[in-house]
Amino acid sequence: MKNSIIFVLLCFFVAGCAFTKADLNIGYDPAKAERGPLSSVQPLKIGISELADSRKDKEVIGHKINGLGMETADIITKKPVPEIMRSALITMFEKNGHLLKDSGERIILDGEIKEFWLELQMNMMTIEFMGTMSLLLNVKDANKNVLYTKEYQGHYDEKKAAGYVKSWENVMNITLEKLMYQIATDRELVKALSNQAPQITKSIEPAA
Amino acid sequence: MKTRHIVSPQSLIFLSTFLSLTTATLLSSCATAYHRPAQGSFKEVSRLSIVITGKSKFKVLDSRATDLGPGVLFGVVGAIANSAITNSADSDKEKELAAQTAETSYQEAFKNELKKLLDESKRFEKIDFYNDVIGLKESSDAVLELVIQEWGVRVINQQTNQLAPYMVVDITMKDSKGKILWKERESQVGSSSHFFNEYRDKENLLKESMEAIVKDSAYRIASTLIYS
Repeated sequence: MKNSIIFVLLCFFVAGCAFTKADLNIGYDPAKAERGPLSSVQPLKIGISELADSRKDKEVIGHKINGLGMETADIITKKPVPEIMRSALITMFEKNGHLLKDSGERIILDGEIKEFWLELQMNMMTIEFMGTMSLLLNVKDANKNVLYTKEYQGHYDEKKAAGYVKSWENVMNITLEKLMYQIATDRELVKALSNQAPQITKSIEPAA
Repeated sequence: MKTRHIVSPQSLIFLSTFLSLTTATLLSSCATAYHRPAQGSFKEVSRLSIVITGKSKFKVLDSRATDLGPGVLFGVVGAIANSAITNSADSDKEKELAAQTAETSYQEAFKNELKKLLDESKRFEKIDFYNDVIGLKESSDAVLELVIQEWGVRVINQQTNQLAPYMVVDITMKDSKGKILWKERESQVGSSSHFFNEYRDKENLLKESMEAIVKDSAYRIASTLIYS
């Protein structure tokens, strides 16, 4: 009986303070932003419109669970999710040498956030934190003709003995990094942008 | 004067041993491995050996992910029993999909896709593929070991309870002196999710979903190799 009580208490403990809302600070760290073949395109003036948010539940990005796997409180973000995603896109394109403009842009990006979710799953001996983000990105020319559309996915999971807000933030930040890296290394996107660049002076070359 | 114990000393010893063992097990199973290679890390690598291994069978993580239930209320034994029930439910589902997954070697498909992408990039002077570290020759600048740990379909959001194709690959890359250049647990999920019944009943849905996730995983690993 004692073992049962302690096990249940341990489960509650590892699930964190289960009944209070968790407010995560999620963002794309420019220091961790990686360059990809996107940087091989001649610098373009790019404008990024507001991103649509088509998630089922726009208020939360996950739920805390207790030791029994029951949802007990919401997990939310300090900044609105579309703002986090748009800011990450700006950082990523700037890191790859492009100029982000509010007017006079040659390329307009818009898109739709389809998933931005932190899932906590209790295993026998561990808790698994899974971050998943999905962004449908539309690339348009100055006349708003669609040049390219693709859905990008970022996912990261980590199994730990325990973890709380810092661990969750870390998982979501890595998920965001992975999503941005997918965009930076998408060769079809590079082709679409290259066609719009005034002059291509660099080829899409690997790092060597 | 006799000391009265609310909990007997034997119980306390048992309890502390149990908790110590549990903690040790927990900590030993939670190594975080996310070490992205820095820009330029692979500059010196032009001859690469790639070892791809993995014995994991196709997995369905459905009940295991969603039905952590009241068994836990009955302590460790209850939790183990509950875990056994959910594992069994998922095993049954794996069997139901077995016919669709039996014919394709996703390890081979993964290798072929990776090879194609790396060859196309012309980034490396020479790439050798191996199925085992034993056969490795010492003529490369670096060895990339890819262990396919898991592949299958799993719940990634309990709000929908749909299953997404997924693949987990443990990545370790060392230079010729044994220095670690890249260490990461790469987990990738597909962008479309479906209910279990759909995977079971819709012809080719599972096959196409798994082929897509294999391609995505290979693409991501190839991109890092090419552009780091």
